Amino acid sequence: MRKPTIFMFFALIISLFLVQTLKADNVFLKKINVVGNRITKTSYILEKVTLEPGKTYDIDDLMDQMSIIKSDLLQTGLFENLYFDDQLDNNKNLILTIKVKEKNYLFLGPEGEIYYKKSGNPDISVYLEYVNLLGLNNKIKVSFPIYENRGLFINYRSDNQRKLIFESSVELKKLRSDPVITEDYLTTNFYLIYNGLSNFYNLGSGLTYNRYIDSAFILFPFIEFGSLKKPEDKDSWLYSRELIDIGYGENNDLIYGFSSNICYFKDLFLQIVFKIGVSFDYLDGDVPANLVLSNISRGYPAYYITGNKRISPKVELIIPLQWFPKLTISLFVDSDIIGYNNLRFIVGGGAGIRWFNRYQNPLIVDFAFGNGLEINFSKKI
Amino acid sequence: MKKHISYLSIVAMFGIAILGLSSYNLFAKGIAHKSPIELTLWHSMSIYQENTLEKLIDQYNSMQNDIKVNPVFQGLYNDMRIKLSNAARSGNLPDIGQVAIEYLDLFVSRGYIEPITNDIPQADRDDILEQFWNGVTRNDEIYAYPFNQSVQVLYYNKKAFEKAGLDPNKPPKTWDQVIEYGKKLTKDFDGDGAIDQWGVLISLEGVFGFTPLIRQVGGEFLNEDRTKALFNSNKGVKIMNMLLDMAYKYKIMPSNWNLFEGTNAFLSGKIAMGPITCAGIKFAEENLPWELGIAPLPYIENKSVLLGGAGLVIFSKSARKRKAALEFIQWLTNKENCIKWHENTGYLPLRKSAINSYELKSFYLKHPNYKVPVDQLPYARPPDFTPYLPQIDQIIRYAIDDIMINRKSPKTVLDLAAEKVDELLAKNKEEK
Repeated sequence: MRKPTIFMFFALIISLFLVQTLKADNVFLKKINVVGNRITKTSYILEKVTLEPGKTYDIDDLMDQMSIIKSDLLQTGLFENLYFDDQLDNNKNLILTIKVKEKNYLFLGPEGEIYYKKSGNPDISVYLEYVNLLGLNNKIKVSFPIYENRGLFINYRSDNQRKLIFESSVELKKLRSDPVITEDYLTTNFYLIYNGLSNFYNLGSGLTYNRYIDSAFILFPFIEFGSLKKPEDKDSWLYSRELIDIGYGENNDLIYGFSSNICYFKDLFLQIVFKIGVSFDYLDGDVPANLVLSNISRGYPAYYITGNKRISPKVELIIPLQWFPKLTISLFVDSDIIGYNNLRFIVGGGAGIRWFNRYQNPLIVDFAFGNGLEINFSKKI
Repeated sequence: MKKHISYLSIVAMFGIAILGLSSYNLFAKGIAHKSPIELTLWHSMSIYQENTLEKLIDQYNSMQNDIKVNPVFQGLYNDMRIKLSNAARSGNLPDIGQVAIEYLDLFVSRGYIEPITNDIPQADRDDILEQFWNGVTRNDEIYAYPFNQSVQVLYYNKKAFEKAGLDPNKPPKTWDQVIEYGKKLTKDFDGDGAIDQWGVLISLEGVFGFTPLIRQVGGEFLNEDRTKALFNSNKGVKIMNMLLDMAYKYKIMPSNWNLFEGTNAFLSGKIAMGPITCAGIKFAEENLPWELGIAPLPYIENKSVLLGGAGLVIFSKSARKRKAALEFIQWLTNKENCIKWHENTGYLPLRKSAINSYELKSFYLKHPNYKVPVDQLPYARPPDFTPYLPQIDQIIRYAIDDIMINRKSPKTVLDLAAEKVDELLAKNKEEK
């Protein structure tokens, strides 16, 4: 009887020790605070927080989740930086405070392209953009053409649902002095993108209603692979978007086509990124003139060449300036092989500057030589 | 025409609304507050470190209206030392200066700085690690707030390790292992007789390269009273012989490259491993085309690393400005900011609360390289301070060059250098 008693005594001591040890690796999360958000709704931030107050967490798991939450919140693009402050109360319970520093959300600026050649027409707009509407990361952008054209462009994007992104745009242009587009037009687009299936691909679909002389509806389901942004743990990455167009013109004539865009990025060294990409587009049937395929090479005016087939290879070298990290230089060569039956080849190239300031997305100015000099200036929405 | 007018009106209304909001803001700011205390901060942080520092200062300037800090880059530590010395002579010192801890004695001995020992809250004294206070303390008085602090770690090229058949997750722990690894990593890829990839580079940058190695064999660079050089002991000779062997016996290390050449060679893949400051981890991780490995500095008999970096010194004599400067420095080095500084530069976190924070622990999950220098803190020590350290550093650099490039006897060269150093130390004693 004596031996089992001693054994049980030691077993009890060991199990008490183990419980103490295990307890030391756990923490009770009492509360989560969010501070620093002046515009963004706390509920929007907490939606990305997978930790739950009132639960006990293994420390390693807690660290893991904090790392993921930080990455998810920074990916929203709303915050310049964020920081987790931890405090233990008298009972050693954890109070976690997420301190965020928001970016600026309201922007006003010009954008457009100036094309220097006899026949070239400047296309300049003034825009007003708000990127955190209602504090829920909704973006709205309104722009007005200010030279020769009149009209309105409104773009709205909502991704406050965790896995579903909705985007819509309306474009109305009047009196455009253009050799191809001769009438006023109205184009509305609606997109739904679902990114909850995998980290590697997104599924989506868009619907266009276009009014230009005649009306047309086009449905275009698409799938996106990879990422345009550099993944944290990779030096080379891919992005691809595959799309099918199917629609009808006003006389029930079919509109059909496809678009395939593949880009490969390689971080060479010193954050210098080499980008090579090619897109294949085909769009045929009763396509309204303002939606017809047109050259996309920088250095050529829009609608310089049109067609129903287009292959567009591009290469680009993106070089951040080490001594001035906010500025990045871009050297690029664009080309198009485009036309109906007789395909034509054009090539343009140039250099650009991207200014990454504390606002969202960089300010871009590109100088491109092709059939004249084109200056593009924009800020991506 | 009517439509045209209404369209222009909408645009104009937007413009007026924006201008109105902005001017209201400016007006409100202008009348609500008196003019702030302006502080000039001379610093030595360049490229991404400067960017991080400026962001923090911008944040400070925008979160309150009483103090405005104006940062001015004044070159690296040595340039800063010269500019501060000139400014001190002409009476134009900045309110705050970032002074390398090894140059602090120059300003203390000449009476340009007042101690701040009694102005430091006990909470800061307790939370900031003792090693860092040691770097800014002279004769029991604290003369600066520790700010950007660093130690050397072993940088290595994981891709080169893989190519040489070495496990990239098992870096060398001792200098003997470095020699063994170095033999495998030194390569003449094209067979032209010239080495294309060296195994290792230890660029003995004067006092700062020599001191941790001599401490690793139980020696010291200077004696405790700072009256005699000790680096010419057998222990110092042993260190130099080890380096000579690396360069000439095993041929795994170039003999005449300085730190700048060595760092560039590492970045371009011509060196497989070498000790470099942890302040470069951020830059290296983001810019190298291969995976960077970071390991503790290898040791010989015992572990020792040199603590370097700079502190923030308050030069201003005005009580109002000194109070404001102290307030700013305490904010800049608080727990949150020292974590941000560490995560965005690679410099060490100063505070125990920061090192133990969940924020940093979760950061290390994704960035384990940043943790390596922090783990070295228990055996990190600053150099042997003396006001003549810059001159002693030059003497040691020449001596090391004489040994490594001209291949003179280590004992003879170190003895000669020690004589010169002893003279300087005697001069210092007389001046006291």
